[in-house]
Amino acid sequence: MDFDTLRVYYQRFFPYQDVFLWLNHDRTPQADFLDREIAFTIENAYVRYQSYMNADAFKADVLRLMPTRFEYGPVYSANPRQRKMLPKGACVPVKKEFCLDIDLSDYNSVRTCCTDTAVCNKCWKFATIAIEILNVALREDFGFQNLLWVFSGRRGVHCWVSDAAALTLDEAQRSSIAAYLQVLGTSTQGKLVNLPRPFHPHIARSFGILKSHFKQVVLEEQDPWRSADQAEELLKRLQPADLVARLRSKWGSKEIPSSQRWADIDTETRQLPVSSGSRNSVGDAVLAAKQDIIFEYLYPRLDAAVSRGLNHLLKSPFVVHPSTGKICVALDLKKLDEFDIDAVPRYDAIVKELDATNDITKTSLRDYTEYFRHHVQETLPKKRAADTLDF
Amino acid sequence: MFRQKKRAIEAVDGEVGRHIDYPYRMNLYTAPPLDEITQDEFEQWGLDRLRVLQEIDNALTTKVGDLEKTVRPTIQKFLPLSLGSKRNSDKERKKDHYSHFILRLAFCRSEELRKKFVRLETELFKLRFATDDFKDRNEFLESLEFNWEIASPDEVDRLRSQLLAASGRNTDVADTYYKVDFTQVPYLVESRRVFLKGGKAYVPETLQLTLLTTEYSKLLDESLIKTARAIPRLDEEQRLIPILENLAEKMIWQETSAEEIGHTDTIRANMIDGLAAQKHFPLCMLTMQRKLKTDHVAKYTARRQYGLFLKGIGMGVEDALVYWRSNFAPRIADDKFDKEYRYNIRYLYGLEGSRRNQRPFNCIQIINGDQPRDREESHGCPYKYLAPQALEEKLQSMGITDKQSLSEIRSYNESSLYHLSCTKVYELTHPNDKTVYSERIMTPQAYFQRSWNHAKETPSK
Ligand code: SF4
Ligand SMILES: [Zn+2]
Repeated sequence: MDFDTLRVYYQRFFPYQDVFLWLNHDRTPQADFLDREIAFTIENAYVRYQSYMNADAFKADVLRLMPTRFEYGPVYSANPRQRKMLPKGACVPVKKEFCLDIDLSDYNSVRTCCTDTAVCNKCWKFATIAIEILNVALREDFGFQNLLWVFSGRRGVHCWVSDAAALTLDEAQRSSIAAYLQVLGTSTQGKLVNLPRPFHPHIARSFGILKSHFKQVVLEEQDPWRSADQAEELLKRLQPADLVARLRSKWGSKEIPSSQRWADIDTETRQLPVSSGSRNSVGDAVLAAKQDIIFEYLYPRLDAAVSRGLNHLLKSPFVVHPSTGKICVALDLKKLDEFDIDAVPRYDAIVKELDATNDITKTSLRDYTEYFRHHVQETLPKKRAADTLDF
Repeated sequence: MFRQKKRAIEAVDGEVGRHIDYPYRMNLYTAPPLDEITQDEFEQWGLDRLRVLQEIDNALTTKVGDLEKTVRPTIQKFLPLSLGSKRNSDKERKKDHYSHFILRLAFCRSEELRKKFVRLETELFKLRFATDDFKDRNEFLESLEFNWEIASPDEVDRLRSQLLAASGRNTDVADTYYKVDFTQVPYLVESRRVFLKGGKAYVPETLQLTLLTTEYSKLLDESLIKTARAIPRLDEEQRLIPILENLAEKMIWQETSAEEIGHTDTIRANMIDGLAAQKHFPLCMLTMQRKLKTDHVAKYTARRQYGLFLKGIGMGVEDALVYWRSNFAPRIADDKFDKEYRYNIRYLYGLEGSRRNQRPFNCIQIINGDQPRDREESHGCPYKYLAPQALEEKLQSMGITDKQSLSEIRSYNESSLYHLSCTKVYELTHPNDKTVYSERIMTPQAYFQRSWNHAKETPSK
């Protein structure tokens, strides 16, 4: 990273004031910001338990430390800088946004376009679908409204839920939300999907969303079962045995598009000999297996540890990702379909743009910071007339 | 007589007096007791409830199949709560009420005890709720002021298909749904057993018990914290302190493995036969010791029960290896011992496998565990598995011959109170031990401990 350029970014572009309002949940400084832990990564050091009086003090320290990244933790019951001077138990985490973390490297077993840290617009769709599903669940089921989705800088997204009710959740409650949203098992051997029928309303709704994307995103773009070897992955998940046998002999060792294989399942199922009365149950079993596959290949994969902990730290929006140089921009869900992961503004590029036009409002970061500002203004408590009469 | 105590309990809960009677069998214990009770009652009632909680704890840790059935005899004996007619049951309800508050005082002191108390009391609450009669239960529920919002019939109708799906059934919808904040029922949320909408969880009546018990645990935990804060004010109540401490200690006693609470003497391999001959062992361990010595046999469960007992009374792993090896010989050759038994013995000491430090069994575990099925097996509690005649012969061979004692023991056994028989046998075989023990034998280690301490204090003949 080029620290001179980075300094310009943190000097001119980073939205300190909006971040302050966003973390503070109000216009005048209150504990939500004053007693909030901010942690910096500076080369190899990790500086925790910092906190600031206001956006300016925060900015001054960022420029002084020039961290490679920084993160936000919980609001403490006292100022975290003073925690060592306070009696034990006097400075403990009391509030924090509820957070979600999705990372595309958790999708390695189902994406064919990229591996490891790489990501492209094809596999970014996994993230888009995850956002769609989780966003509606958090809003409709849990009643949260103040949600900010943030690109995590390389291959994932974070969600920050800042409703008052979310801030005060205890760890058991956070875990319960994470578990509710977590559908895939974690075991590498065991069955990944184990969903009781009939589907719980959240599962049923999610299935509707997944189904609408499955053909394009999985069958066509990822095409995960094209070769005969890959097709074994599909066969492994199907039953009964005679259906699997028919499909295997039909397909041989040919390369066949996944969408064709998927269609063949139904064709072959229909041709299974009717052993009296069992047609329905075979049909049900095949249907259930197909549904499970759809969940396994598309349902959001969460890093639940980030959600559970009250004192888990998470990277700030608009930080520059230290290895990609991309800015962790806030995502406007209305424009999520247009989001191009290859076009996410880089800090050096926008500094160049600024050099060229000398107009900070004309860089490609502008839309993102504007969206963030708008989001923060929308979610702050409304100014009431009475407020001005109080004193 | 007991004016001061009354104030103590009152002060702790900070509520002002009003007359309490007991309209329901179930109690959420929101109102502190106000009547006077004697110091003896105070202690006895506390102890009795503690016994019930310990029994529940044991049953939970040994993972018995039917909790209710396992603990029923103990509850019946120490803390019965009859169904129905309130006139007869007022006394039981009063004891239930008071004993709960007595234990609160004893268990509010540390977070660990508090958690344990809440957990066990919640189990007890569930057991009682499950056995309550329908009418009583409904009246009790109606008397609670939880302000659970009930979803209107219109709303239930509108949401019917989702409510059904959330309950995991296709038909048979419960008609009443409580609307509570999802934060109140995290375990129902995490298992997706309720329908969620706008932050409200729709809890069907069938899951009402879960709702009620969470509420109960929460209330209880909060009041214990309050009690703990208020307890310094109790210090003027000098007479109560030792009783409360004793109660708390008993709870901890269960938590602690024998080697931690025990004496610091080391028990060597070559001492065991002598210890057994000197009446230091309870009948269960004596039986296993003899079987091993004469037939060189100890089956799986016996190896665990007896092996952990030896560890519990202070035998180190090296001595244990020596002891077992020499007692298995000549039936089991050295190399076979090394191959098959060494590992198991080291395992008991947490030196192999999962490396968990294993706790010696207590009487309730031994009594509720399985008993010998044939002559080769020697584990279990003889007071339980021996036929009355066979037990009597055994006791006579230990020098217990008088009719009255024998019939006392027999009657304990008939009421399944085997540890009382065991305590009686201790008294009869240790006539010079004049120590006043506040509790019955509850672990074989305790039996040994008493006998050993007593022997150390009396100069040998
Ligand atoms: S009561 Fe306990 S110590 Fe006594 S014999 Fe039975 S299990 Fe052993
Ligand atoms: Zn890709």
